[in-house]
Amino acid sequence: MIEVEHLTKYYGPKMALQDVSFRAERGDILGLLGPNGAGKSTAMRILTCYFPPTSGTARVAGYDVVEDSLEVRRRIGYLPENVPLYTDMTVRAYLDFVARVKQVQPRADSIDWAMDAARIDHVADVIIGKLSKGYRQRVGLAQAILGDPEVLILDEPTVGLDPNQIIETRQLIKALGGERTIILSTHILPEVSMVCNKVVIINRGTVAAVDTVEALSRRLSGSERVAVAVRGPRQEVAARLEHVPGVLAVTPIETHDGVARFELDTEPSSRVREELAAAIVRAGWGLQELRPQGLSLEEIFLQLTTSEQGVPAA
Amino acid sequence: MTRLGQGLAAIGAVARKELYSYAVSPFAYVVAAVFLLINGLIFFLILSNGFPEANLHPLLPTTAFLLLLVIPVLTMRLLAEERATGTIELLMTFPVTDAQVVLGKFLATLVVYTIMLVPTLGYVVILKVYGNSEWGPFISAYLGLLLLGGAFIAIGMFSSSLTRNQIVAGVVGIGILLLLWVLGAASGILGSRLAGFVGYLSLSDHFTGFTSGVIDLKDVVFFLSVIAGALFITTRVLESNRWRA
Repeated sequence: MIEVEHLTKYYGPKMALQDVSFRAERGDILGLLGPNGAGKSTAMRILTCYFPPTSGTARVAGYDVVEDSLEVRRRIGYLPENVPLYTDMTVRAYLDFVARVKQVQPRADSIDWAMDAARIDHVADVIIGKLSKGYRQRVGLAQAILGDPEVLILDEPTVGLDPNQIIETRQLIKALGGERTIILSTHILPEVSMVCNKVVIINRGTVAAVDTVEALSRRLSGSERVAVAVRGPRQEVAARLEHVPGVLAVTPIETHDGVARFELDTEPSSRVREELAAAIVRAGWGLQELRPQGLSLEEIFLQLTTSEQGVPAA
Repeated sequence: MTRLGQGLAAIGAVARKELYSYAVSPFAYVVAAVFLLINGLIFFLILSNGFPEANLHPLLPTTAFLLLLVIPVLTMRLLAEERATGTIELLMTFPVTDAQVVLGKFLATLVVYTIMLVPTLGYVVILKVYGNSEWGPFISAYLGLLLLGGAFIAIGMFSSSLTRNQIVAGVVGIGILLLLWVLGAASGILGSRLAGFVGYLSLSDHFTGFTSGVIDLKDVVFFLSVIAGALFITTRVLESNRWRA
């Protein structure tokens, strides 16, 4: 549904994105996670065809954001970070404008549906300028989902809301998933695990990690990744490795020429690697490779806001 | 819906929204009131000093100059405000082209301008009733006003596209229009060849024909070209904002 390949964006001499690649399939809720200034908004603006990349490609629903910009825009709903709305219009009048521009049919019913989904039907005739931030956010969400787009792109959809509103918004986003593909950006770690199934970590314009949420949680909870290659029978080797103290998970990668490769999730400790080596050699197998795959997520998360006080899991 | 139908619908959606914004804010009403008041005052003064001819000819140069001051004030928010509030980000990621945005806003402002001119038909009524004048000069006068106003609006939009600051947009708009207007006077000072060229560009020169009851195709084409040119450049400026973002 969404394919980003080697995306690079420079604002003059300043690098905003460098060689960013990731994908999202239909039904994914993908989180762009990173500290402020990491490049999340830039990536989203390229995906929404606000501006083109300096190099690299981005495709939404099969259409290139530069070559077929209009086709992309017909299939997306976008909520920018600062939720820019026309404050002189009533909610209904504004959504009517958006519906006309997006050529949504049937217009009145679609507007009613969007207002209902975003829970703003009771403020339909209120002037947007008079609404609180929480309600404006919902109006922003309503205009994004108007027309039932295949892809939703939400830039920091919960920032600035109070804890109750944050929970509601996250629930709404989860409910909107299903057949739709959603990309949302955030700098709040727990939000990703609550709402998303995939995550892309961006820091200072480059991708630090791409993963599913479970794997990421495992790595975050203090596990390390170790690549192991052993000359020996795959099943037995895997079983033996699983029993080494400190090993959390063993994932076979491939077997080639009698050499079995695995990816292990382990507790962070160099002892584990020693134990692994000892276990392999003791069993009489040839140890070809034992290598920690260090993506130091800890460093990144020192910069990220990791804890949220007072917001229970959705 | 055909592609053309879709395109027109998009322009219509933008125009509708812009008309709504004009309608709910006191701004357009104040501008119109000021214009009509001063214009009416001048008309009254001309009348009381003995009207040389029973048509709008004596009034029109002043009207044109008033419009030169007033229209940029009307248009200054059209694009500058969108950029200042950030709503431009949504506008440019909707399935609507930059050209459609520009055309929609232009049409809406043209409608507002036309409505603003309607009360001046009162002068026509007065002149018709108390003088014996033909319809011809009136028709050419209003055609000229529409074309002139259209050109002013297009140029005012252009200057609004250059900045986030509405005041700057308004001042720059007045500045550009003054410059183009005054070129007509300048042609008297310059040498003949240069004067010819400069006169050709002058907005006031091309407006004069309409005020005298003459509808010269050359003048019509001139104003339409100015409108098309200014709108085109405005669209380009919008596009270039994407590349510079």
